Amino acid sequence: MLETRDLHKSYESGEARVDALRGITLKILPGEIVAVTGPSGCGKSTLLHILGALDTPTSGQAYLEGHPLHSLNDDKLTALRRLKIGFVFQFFHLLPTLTVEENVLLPLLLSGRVNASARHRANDLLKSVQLADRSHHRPHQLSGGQLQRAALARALIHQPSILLADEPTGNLDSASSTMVIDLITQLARKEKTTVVLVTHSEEIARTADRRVALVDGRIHS
Amino acid sequence: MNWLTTLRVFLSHGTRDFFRHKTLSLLNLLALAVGVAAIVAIQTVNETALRSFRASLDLVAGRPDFTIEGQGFRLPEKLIPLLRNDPAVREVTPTLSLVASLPNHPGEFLHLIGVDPFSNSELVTYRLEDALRSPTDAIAFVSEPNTIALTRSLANRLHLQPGDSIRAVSAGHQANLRVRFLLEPSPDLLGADDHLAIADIATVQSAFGLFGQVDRIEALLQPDASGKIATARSSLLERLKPHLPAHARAGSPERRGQEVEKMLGAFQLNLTALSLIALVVGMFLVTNTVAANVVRRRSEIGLLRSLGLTQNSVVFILVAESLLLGFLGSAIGIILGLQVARTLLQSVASTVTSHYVLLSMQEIVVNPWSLLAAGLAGLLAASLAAWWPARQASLVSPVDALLPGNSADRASSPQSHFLRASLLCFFLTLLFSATALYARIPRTGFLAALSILLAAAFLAPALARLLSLVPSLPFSFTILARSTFSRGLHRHGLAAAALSVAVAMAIGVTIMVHSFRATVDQWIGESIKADLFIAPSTNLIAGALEPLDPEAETLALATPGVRAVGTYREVRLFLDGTPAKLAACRLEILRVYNPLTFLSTLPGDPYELCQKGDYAIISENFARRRRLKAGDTVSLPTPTGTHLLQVAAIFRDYTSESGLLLLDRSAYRRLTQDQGLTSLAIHLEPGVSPQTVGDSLREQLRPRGEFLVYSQAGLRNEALRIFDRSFAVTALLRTLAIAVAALGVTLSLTALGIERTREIGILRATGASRGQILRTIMTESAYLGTTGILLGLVTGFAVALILMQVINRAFFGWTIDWYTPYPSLVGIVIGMMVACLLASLPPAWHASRLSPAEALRSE
Amino acid sequence: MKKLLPILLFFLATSGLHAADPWARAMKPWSWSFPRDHGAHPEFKTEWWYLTGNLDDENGNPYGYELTFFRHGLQPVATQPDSAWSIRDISFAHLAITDVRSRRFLFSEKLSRGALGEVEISQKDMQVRIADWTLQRKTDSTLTMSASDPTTGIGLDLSATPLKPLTFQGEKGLSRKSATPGNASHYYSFTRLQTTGQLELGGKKIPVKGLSWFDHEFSTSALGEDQEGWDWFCLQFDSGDELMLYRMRNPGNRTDPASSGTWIPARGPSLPLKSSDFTITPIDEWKTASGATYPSGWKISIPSLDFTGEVQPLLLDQELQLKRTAKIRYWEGACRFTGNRSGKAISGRGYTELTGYASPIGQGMKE
Repeated sequence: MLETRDLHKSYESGEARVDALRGITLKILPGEIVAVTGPSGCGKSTLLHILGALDTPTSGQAYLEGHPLHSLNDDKLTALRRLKIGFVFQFFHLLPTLTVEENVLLPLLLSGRVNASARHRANDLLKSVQLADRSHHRPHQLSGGQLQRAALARALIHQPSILLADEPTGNLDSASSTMVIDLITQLARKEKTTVVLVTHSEEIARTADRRVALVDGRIHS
Repeated sequence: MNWLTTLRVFLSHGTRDFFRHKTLSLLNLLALAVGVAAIVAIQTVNETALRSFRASLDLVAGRPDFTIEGQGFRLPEKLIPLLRNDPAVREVTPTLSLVASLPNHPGEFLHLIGVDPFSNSELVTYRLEDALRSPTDAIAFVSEPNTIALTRSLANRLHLQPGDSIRAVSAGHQANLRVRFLLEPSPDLLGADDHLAIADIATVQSAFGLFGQVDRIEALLQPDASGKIATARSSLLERLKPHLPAHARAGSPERRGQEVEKMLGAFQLNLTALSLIALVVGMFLVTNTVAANVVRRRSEIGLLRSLGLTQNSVVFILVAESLLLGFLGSAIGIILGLQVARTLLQSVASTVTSHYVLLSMQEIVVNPWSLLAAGLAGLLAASLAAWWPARQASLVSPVDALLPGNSADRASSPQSHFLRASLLCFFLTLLFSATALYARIPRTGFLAALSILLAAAFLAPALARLLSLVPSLPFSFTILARSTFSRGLHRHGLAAAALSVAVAMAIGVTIMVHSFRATVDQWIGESIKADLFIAPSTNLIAGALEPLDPEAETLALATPGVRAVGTYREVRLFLDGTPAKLAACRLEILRVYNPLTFLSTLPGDPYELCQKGDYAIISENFARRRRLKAGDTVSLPTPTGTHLLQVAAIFRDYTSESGLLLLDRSAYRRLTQDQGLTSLAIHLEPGVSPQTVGDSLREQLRPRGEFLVYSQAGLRNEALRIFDRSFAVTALLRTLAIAVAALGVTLSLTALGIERTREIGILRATGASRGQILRTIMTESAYLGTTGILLGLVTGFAVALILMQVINRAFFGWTIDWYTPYPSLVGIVIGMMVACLLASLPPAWHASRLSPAEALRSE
Repeated sequence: MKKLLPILLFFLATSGLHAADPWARAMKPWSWSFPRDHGAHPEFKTEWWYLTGNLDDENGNPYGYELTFFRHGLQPVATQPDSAWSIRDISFAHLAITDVRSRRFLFSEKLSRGALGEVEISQKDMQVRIADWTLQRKTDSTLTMSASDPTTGIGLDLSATPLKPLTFQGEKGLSRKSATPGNASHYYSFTRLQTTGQLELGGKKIPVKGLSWFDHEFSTSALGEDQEGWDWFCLQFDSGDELMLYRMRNPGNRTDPASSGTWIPARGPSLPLKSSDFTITPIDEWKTASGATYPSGWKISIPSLDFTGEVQPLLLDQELQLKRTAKIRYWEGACRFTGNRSGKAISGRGYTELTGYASPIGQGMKE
């Protein structure tokens, strides 16, 4: 499903060179829920961005369902993101100018697939994240937990094969955290979506099928 | 936290921010610079014009305490002993000036001024002694016939050396003037017309047959017992009054300057108002950017606030940043403005000459004070523009500011406020129009124009909202663009408003100029019937000032193929303190060959009335400005006394901005004793070629000086050329407005692009392609453009209406028929739309190229 | 300082004379005829009517005055004759008043091209007017003069009656200025005029009376090529005698042999004096603010008349600094005299004129 081989990523930051990933080799099976843990700055988010086709590695290979993420151009990566990947971010990242429903439908809108059944699915999803009554609200009218649940609905609307979550509870109180994590696992299992969850919370990591610990850009075993 | 610390924060943050967003800063800079440049250019040209006029006046007449001037006609020199013998008078000196053409130097002329060096030493500011090096020279100046002093620059241009002779022609008199002296460039000559030539008054009288005549008499007075000149002046005036001819105007010389200023005032106000609008548009843009800036830097501001920066300090920092921008922008604007002024100089000089007074300007006169004022206006605009958004930013609590997400998205703009403001501005428009038209405060007409522009600006958010109610095309990017546009009005509102103001300006001015030109063209077609026209060439370059050689009429009448010769005489004068033109025609020719379009007449034939008695025909704008109708009387001061003329008819005329009073030639000659002619209109026998007769006349006239012989089409082209030249500055300002508006769109979208980097990251993460980002942003720009242009288009018609029906009526009183220049309007609309799309291209491209991961990381 | 056209002239202008000189010259004694010769002689280039005098007010405070009218021909025939502004002559006048007690010296000038009746100078009698400054001879031979300048606040309104018949200077009125024939003027004087009237100073009118001296002189070329200027004295003694002396200065402050003078006794014919008959020796000098140096105080001795004495200015600064008539400076001031004649004390008052010390003199006066 997801596979990386000796993945390296470094950034030029002025004079200095930051090596965010230093040889990650990883294999994630379909339907698996994997928690990536590690201290701040260990490269978790960078790994996630590469797995999510948002960024390309400096060297090494990454495959999503056999697609070589490390060698595809921007258009191909965009197409992959559009069809196969869902994202949940720490800061929710809903578009402030769209309503909740529009935000949820955004991935389908971008691929030109908004129709009655899409709307239906969006409603179902919003129901399942308990936001049915909020679908026409704007993001600034929602609380953090609600925002993240909406973001989850958006991440799943196009039935991606993989859901990438970057510290999804990082900005939530514990009640909301629990709810969001429960929803992620619950919906992922239901839709058979592979999940990669970046977190620094032990508690959340425990809910995963497997955990990968990163330290200084390497997998700590 | 003290101010010093605030300043340090400013220096470290503000300036860094400036350099971090170079494009944005540069665009801002440019917007302000263009606004300031417009002001500087207009002010400089205005000042150069006034300065040049005054310098030429002062140079020969200095700053006397008392002046007598002939209105339209010269004064008898016999008035001088009267003044000389008055106990209040310390010194009296005359001047006698004329414009002479130089047949050997086509296109050049002399503004020859006769002076009395014996009596003007306390009055003049020029230094002949620089030119006159020996007593022999001094004696030669006053005693050798035809001796003149020329400015060095003109002498160089004409390749004349001291000792050379130059043939000069004026009103049929020819003289071989001998250049004996050169006036060196000196501070006194700065700004003065370099066509100026000085000669002894006896020389000018003798060379051009002007015996017994002077133009102006200047006097220095003896202060009265209390040391005041004013009382001495008024008592002198009392004593002189019974002896002055009716057309003499006596009094303080300041009045003369004021009148010139008044005369040029409408013209200058016009330009100044337009330049101010350019600055206002610039201001909109700066507000827009600062507002965007504030949104973008919310967390930075929040951080500074949480670290203890006070609200006032936040305002200070943001305003100071804007001021820094304003400072640079003003500096660039000043340089730019001076450059623009240089290019405008000639067209303004020609315009003023053809409408008001002889004016020739070679180099701009830079007044440091007005540069300072324009710079301050730029700074003021920058700080005013920054103040409101800065205030908003300072009001955000530090906690909110530090929260992620965009709080600006939460704040919904108070739509109803804007609508109310818009309504208020609309009422102000009506009010100011009314005061301009009915309360006779013409200047408020410009306030009406400004109000309608503001009304439109306040309407921009509402219109944008309305526009977003229209269902969008079913493309992802249009749907996205529509929702981001309609819900991002806090970001687009100002840009749309600025755009609408600029478009309204451009459209309003375009309609007005087009209508005016079409009206004039139409009128020329209807009212100019003669086949050929003859005028002295100086009248083209120096305005209709100098009379034609009287022989020309005889020559024309004797030319085979000529059926009738109409004559035209025109003088400029002040009637009741406002400028006007007095003209005389052979009405018996006019009525047959070239009947006037009367708007109203007395019972009976107005031509006959004028030929028989003291009747006049007045132009529409003359009637309107002085509230006259047929049957009313006009009092006309002439050298033979003040005459009451009854208005026989009112006719349409576009030849004079100040209004025309037309007499029959016989009446004119009887009343004024002036035998001069300004131009001839020649009607040919049917079938005779104007070309042939024109060539023949040209040939016959050649030895008599420099003449212009126009065909009908030639005259029409000349008239339209003068018209176009008069509006050259207006056209330039229109272009400026469009440029500023396009700049504004780029600015707005660039700011938006920076502000929305993260959103773009989200879109990209959610599967938006580069093309989708590009298209979305360009569609947003199209929305913005549509709002601004639509609003501007409608408002533009309103502005045109105000320009034509309020400002024109209040200042000039012409009738301008409405002609809608559809192709130009379509051109402007399409051009602006294209400009908006092109303007959006760089920021859209930039956004689409952002790396999604990096964009997401941005906060 | 106002700018001015440096018209000329009187002292500055070159006349550019050539062989075919259109101007008359003072070659031989004039055949005098009065009152006609009190009037103008336009065939000569330069002409002046010169009045100076020492007056006292009711309290015995001494004053001096100078009022001079000049005519200077620019061209013998006016060009551009149809214009009222055409010029043949220019006319100017100088007025100066010395207030000895308050140590004030004030002056004023007029300059005119004579257009539109601004100048009238009769050729029949002494009727001279430039603007409102006038000098007229009444039928009873009294000279009346009037001039005022509100700007400087000075003026005078005087009538002067000759107490003696007129005196011809030089040889029957032909007064030579250098050895070259023609460098001479026609020159006569009223050496003692009883004067009454009023002076105006600072707007205040002061009744005065005293004695005046009058010169009328016309010439075309009165100075030699290299002459630098002159020192001129007129003295009126309490004894009823008068003395006129002038010293033409050649380069190196040498006295030109053509210098001369006239002794006018209380009664009887006047006595011409040659340069060898008298000596004038400066005693002191006075420096102007602008740096020029004038002699100040003179020892005069005329051995043939057994006459010696000293002339002392009543005020050091009596320099006219004229602006309008070109930038001309000369010293013209009231003086007093004390000395001896034939062993008896003699005293009097008079005027001294010093030219060519502060501004170059002269080409109009030279050939």
